[in-house]
Amino acid sequence: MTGPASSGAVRLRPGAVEWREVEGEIVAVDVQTSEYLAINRTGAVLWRALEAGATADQLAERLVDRFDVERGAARRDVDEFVATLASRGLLA
Amino acid sequence: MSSIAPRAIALTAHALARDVATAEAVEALRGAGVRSIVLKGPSIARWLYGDGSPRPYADSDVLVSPARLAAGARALESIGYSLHLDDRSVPGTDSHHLWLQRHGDGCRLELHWRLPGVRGPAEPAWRELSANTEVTSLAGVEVEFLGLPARALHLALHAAGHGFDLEKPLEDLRRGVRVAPASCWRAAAELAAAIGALDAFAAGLRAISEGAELAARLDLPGARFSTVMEMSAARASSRSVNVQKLLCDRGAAATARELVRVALPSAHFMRFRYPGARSGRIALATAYARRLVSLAAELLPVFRSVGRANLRSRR
Repeated sequence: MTGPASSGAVRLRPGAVEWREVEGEIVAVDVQTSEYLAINRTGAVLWRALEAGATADQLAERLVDRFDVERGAARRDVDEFVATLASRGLLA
Repeated sequence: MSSIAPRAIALTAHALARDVATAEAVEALRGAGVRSIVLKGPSIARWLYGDGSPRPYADSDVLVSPARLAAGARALESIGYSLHLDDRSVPGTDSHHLWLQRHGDGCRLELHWRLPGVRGPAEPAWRELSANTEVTSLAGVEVEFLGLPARALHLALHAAGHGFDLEKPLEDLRRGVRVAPASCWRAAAELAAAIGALDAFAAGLRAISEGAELAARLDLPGARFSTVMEMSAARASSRSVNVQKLLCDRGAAATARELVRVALPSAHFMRFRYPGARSGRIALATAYARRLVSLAAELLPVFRSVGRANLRSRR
């Protein structure tokens, strides 16, 4: 399966969002639109990795390590998450 | 699906929206050639609340040089802010900022020209505080935070300013005392001495037990404001606490002069405080008369409370 992040590393676009971790989850505000995002604990794991930059495989690996899920399911979750952020213009 | 309380999400989202507004303000100030330092809010949340506890804030706080205050206010007016209150016009306060508001989105911004509790001249204090800052990114804009010693100092000054009235500054201070190393607090004490804020710094630290221990280790001067903190702890009225603060800080004669100023403030302040006083001279005179009567009733228990506190401290 090819997702938006399969070809290389992606990362949060610097300055695109202002965010804070709250009780293990992420609350973020899109600086351009002022819309906010609330991201659960699973997404928070990916978010923190995306801050530094990671490939889809590396992101999926994080989910497998952290939540003991099957690799294929982890990759599908990663692709969906990354596609959502990309559609909002939040990734570089 | 998020599992945290909707209120925590809402408070954090609101704080982040303030960060966006703060970044916009910093850009406007920079465009007008006014250097600024972002205070409180994001600089405290990032430093002391990395454990994921929510740290809400509802406005923006920015420090500028006193010499650039007017230029700063004009720059902020250009992005829709207007002056709501200059606290130099409010009698009996430790004035340190302009309070601006933007009506379109309800953003509030405090444009500080010094930190509360600073007794030395404001311009040299700005030079000290702005000498060591931390450059970072806020909502995509490069901004400056106070350096850590100055931020630690500000935690204590903020706590001193509010006494025991507000939990948030006390919790910030508790976390600061826990997180910042002794060297940081020692540098904060040196900075406090340099800008004439040592008394307020010591009083603020002594607002919490961990801070009192730190104040002792730092060998800070005697608790000049100890009666203020005791009254605050005993939940004395804020007016009583403010009178005692003045008494400790400036002595009896200056306190008496200040009380006269409180009783008979400027017409500008009266019109701001009492909307009914805006309709003419008679309405203004009536507002003054009402203020005097109500103050007389309020000040009697204040004098009793202050008198008792000072008697206790002499025993």
